[in-house]
Amino acid sequence: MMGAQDISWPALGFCMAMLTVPLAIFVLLKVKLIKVTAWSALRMCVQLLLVGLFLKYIFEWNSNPITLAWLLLMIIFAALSVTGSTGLNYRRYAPLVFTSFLVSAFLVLLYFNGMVIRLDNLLEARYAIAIAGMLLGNSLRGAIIGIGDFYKSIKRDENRYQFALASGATRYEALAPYLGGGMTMALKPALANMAAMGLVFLPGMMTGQILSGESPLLAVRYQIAIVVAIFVCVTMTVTLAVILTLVMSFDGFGVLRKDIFRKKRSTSGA
Amino acid sequence: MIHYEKVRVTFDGVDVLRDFDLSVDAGDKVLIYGKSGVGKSTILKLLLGFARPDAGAVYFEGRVLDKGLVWEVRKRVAYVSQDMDIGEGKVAGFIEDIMSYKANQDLNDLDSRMRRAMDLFELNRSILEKDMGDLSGGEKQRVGLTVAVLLGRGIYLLDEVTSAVDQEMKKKIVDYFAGLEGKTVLSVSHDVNWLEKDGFKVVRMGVG
Repeated sequence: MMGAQDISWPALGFCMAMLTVPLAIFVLLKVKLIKVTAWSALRMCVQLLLVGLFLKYIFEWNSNPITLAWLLLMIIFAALSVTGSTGLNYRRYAPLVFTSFLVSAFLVLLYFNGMVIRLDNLLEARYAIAIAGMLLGNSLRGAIIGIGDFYKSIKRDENRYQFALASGATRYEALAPYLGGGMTMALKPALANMAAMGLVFLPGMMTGQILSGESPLLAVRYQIAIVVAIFVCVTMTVTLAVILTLVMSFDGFGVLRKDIFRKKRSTSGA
Repeated sequence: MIHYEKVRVTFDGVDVLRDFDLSVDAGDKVLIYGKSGVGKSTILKLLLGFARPDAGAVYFEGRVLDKGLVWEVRKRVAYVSQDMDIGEGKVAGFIEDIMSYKANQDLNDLDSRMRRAMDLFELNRSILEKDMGDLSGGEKQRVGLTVAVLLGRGIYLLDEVTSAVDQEMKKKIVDYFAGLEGKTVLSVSHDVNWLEKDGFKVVRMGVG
């Protein structure tokens, strides 16, 4: 296998130099994105360099406990990020969101590594971390949209929800439309992506494999496999997260508790 | 059957209800009459478990309304809410959804009863194909009433159900509920049509 053409450090400098084009445009058009762009680009470089350095060693060691610890760390970040972005109460919800990521990502990862890629060591660092990263990254986005939509819709449409309860709906019957709505919102981008794949763009993973010299057909099989795995993982994560958080979110009367969202800073201290 | 005992409900530090007492026997027709903003709707919401007493208690058939009993009560009442943003999608689908709940699956003659209820509230069949969001306030109220009648429950909880319909329809709705044999009706309203109708036990709120 030939592997991808090397990008040397000076060459990466040439790449960063391209940023002067958007920056010059921002200056000329007085678009207030200069600071954000510089800050984001810097963060990207530092974060990725650190991750690259870590991964270099983690792949070299290829030790299951260390891989597992790295995966757990990724899941903790994912859970905190979802709880943060949806505005849900951290202390109560982060552990539950963490559990739903943990269960769904691990189940899908182990099945994928065992049955699809057929690895001898299911936690082979190179595969486990790369695949889990894609599963978690996508589930993260899905979960933020799905869980957020679920609770915000019930809060917004309280009358509809209460009307359903008052008409004799069980908890599940009253909540089912909202779970369906959240799920649809969460999966819509993934579905649109799936349908456009190959026509509009070459997906990132496939591009990476082609650049590193793999046959396009193997790259395609990997791509299809990972897209399916991601879809399954997003669905499982959203469903699990909703189910696990239900008990916390509704009182015995089936009414949505008022304190599920964090207080906004602007409204406190009045 | 339904009993409120010294109920107090506080919302954001303000008393919405204070020392509220009311006893409703089976078959009673009760009108809770008063201006808006005096806690009338809260009385119905208490029975449905959507509001909770800060003091006192609500009893249903002699038992304190708690988180176990409330689910039973919701299968025994038909509630027409004042806020009519109660569903989305086609009217037909909205009604089907409610009838598909496990608690409502044993209802017979749905089609013929629906036709009668829609005739009663002067709803054209074509409304079934309309979107809930496109209905006028009066239409939504009448769809809500149609669902309530279809559910055929023994207790009606009506919250300002004549606020958005014309005078003729107001009278028709009041007459219908006043004449329901053997059904218990709790109507919350500030509409004099209810007050002028005989047969209602009147509870005045927000005066004296």
